[in-house]
Amino acid sequence: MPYNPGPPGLGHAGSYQVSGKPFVSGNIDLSAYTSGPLEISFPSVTRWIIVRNRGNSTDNSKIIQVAGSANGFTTGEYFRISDDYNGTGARRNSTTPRMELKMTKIYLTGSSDKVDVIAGLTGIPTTTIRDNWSGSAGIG
Amino acid sequence: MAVYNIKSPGLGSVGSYQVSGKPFLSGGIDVSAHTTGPLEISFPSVTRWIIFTNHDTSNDFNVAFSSNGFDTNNFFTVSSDTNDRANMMTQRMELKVSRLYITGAATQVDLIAGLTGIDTLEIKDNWSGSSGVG
Repeated sequence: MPYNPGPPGLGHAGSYQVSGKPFVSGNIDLSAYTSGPLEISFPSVTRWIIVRNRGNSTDNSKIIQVAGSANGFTTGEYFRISDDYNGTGARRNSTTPRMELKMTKIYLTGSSDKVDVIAGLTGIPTTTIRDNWSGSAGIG
Repeated sequence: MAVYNIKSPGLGSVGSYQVSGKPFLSGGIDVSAHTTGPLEISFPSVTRWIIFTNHDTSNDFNVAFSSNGFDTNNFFTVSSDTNDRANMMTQRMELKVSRLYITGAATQVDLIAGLTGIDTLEIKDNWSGSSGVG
C-alpha cells in the first residue's frame, strides 16, 4: 500500500519557512458593505498578510478596522488603518507591516473606497484552524 | 557505474527560501508605454520576495499575478510618490512566483526581487486560475 503523508498540519514549520503562494483582493470599496463586516476567506492558511488603505480624506474619516472575527468589532479586538492622505500630507499608518499570522479569514469595516489585501499562503488546509480562532482571547 | 545526479531544488525546498536571494532589479519602468495590455515581467527563477517602488509623482500602477487578475479584482495598487505616501512602496512581499503583470500610467517604477535557485517550471502557469490570483 502506498505511503500517503497527507497535507501538512498547522504546526508544519517548513510551510512557514518557504515563501507564500500569492493571494490578492484589491480595490475593495468597503463603503459598499453596509450590512456588516466584509469577510475575506483565504483558500488555505496564510503565512502573512498585508492590508493597505489608499482612501483619502482631510479628517481620516476613511479609516478602516480589521479583525479576526466579526465579533472582534464589538469586543474591541480589532486594529485600525488610517487613510492614505489628508490633503496636505501623508499618514504613515495607512499600510500594515507584513503580519506573519496564520489565519483563514479576516474581517474589514470602514468607509474607505480603496483597500487592498495581499497575503502569502501556505499549503495548509483551512480546516486545520477551527472557526479562524474565533472565541479565542484577542480575537473575539 | 552509477552516477549521483543532484537535481535542482523543488518548490518546497525550505533551504532555498532561508538563504538570501539572488538579486533581480528592473528600474525606471515606464508602464504607460505598454498600451496593448499588461506589462509582463518574467523572472529567471522562482522569487523569494518582491518589492515595488513608485517614483512617479502623479500616477499609480496596479500589480497582479495573472493578466486575468485585473478583471477579477485580484490586484493591488501602488500609489504615486506624492507627499511621502506610505503606499508608494510595498512591503517586502515573501511570495513564490515566476511572473507578474503591471498596468497603469506610472512612468517611473522600480522592481526589486530576491530569487531562489528554483526553476520556474515548478509553478504551473504562475498560479493562474487559483483563488486570489485570477
